[in-house]
Amino acid sequence: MHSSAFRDDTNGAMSRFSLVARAGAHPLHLVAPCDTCRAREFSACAPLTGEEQKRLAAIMRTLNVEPHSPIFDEADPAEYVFNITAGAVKVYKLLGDGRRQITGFLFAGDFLGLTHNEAYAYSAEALVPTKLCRFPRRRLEALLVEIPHLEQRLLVMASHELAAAQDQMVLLGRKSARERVVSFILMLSNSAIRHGRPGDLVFLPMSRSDIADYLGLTTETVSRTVTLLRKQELIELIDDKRIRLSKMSTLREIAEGF
Amino acid sequence: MVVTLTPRFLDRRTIDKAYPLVRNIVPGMTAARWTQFVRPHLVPRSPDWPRGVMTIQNAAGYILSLFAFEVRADLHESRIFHMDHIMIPNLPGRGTLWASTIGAAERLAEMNGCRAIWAEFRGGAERSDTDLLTSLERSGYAPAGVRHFKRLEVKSGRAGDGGDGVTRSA
Repeated sequence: MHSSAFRDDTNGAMSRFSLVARAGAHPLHLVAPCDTCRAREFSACAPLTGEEQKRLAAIMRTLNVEPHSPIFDEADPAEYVFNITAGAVKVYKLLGDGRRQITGFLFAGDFLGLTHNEAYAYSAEALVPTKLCRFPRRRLEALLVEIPHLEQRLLVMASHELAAAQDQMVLLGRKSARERVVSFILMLSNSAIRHGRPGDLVFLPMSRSDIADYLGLTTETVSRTVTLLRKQELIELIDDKRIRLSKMSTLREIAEGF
Repeated sequence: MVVTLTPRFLDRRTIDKAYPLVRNIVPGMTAARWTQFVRPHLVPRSPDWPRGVMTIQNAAGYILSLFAFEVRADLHESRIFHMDHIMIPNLPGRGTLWASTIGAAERLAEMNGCRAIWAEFRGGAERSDTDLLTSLERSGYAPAGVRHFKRLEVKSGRAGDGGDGVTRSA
């Protein structure tokens, strides 16, 4: 575990409270990290009552991870599970020949920590400044016994890594590079909609090289395909990390191989 | 929040989709080897003796668990439902998933007129999930019988091994 990449934000939260208290705005109102969490409504903790939320928060720490820093490595002891509350993460496996295969991208609201034999099944790395809630696995499981409806919710959230890897298998089944790239963009668009953001504006926090790795293409092919889609006015490159989908129905047709 | 988990048979179109789950349970498993293993399971030996792979999928169609099954003749129980290659990932909140997986197997066994279920754990990741074994015991399953295992030395050209470590039977 590369703990040096983390900044434990628990004390930071208290500092913010101190500032609020000094300003005299709400001197008796403690601001817990969960109260201001923008990912809460689509995270595992959404259905919890105030009391249940407090119990979950009691075993949780918030962490800030710098871009390109590891969160955990494949085969590390899986002591924690993580909920992404801001930012983006790539998960990948190291292949026998030393190559790396990106198996998914996860965003705010997604859960991290799929294990194999008590060890992490994948490596995870922050793509951009990322904020995480970290839960000790054993203590979380003990809490599930006491809060049964959290168990079902967690199952939905915790299957995100598997879902991302299954999405990849579907993408790899697409025939042409164009179909794969467009399907990938639409997948990110659907993810944005699920998280309450407009579907025509897609955030691409990953590099072209990461996209190529994920789609089983070369970086040059990904770049060429994106340029072609832009020239055809199907997408608009707002900046290096954001694209606007100009003709959604045409993009859907391309993804389906029409 | 109510989680919708639906049992669905694995078919040729969903073999690839199941692969990430299999890879999670059996690290090092290649997609080619998984496909080679699972394809014959999707074709029943005969209509009276079904076999296949059952998956448990969430509302979005993602495969969260699976098991291989076969209805076999049994001298003592007449028809027996045999399940193996049980793959349930170690996810937080997996109790619901275990219940759905076991429930799907039992419904399938009843539909096929089976009088008993064999649930086989081959070792490795499956065996290490002691919580799953506990869950099975709570559902009325008990260790039964004795199975011994011996790995045979592979002689070239005689074991049906195509060089990929997969043993094929005729």
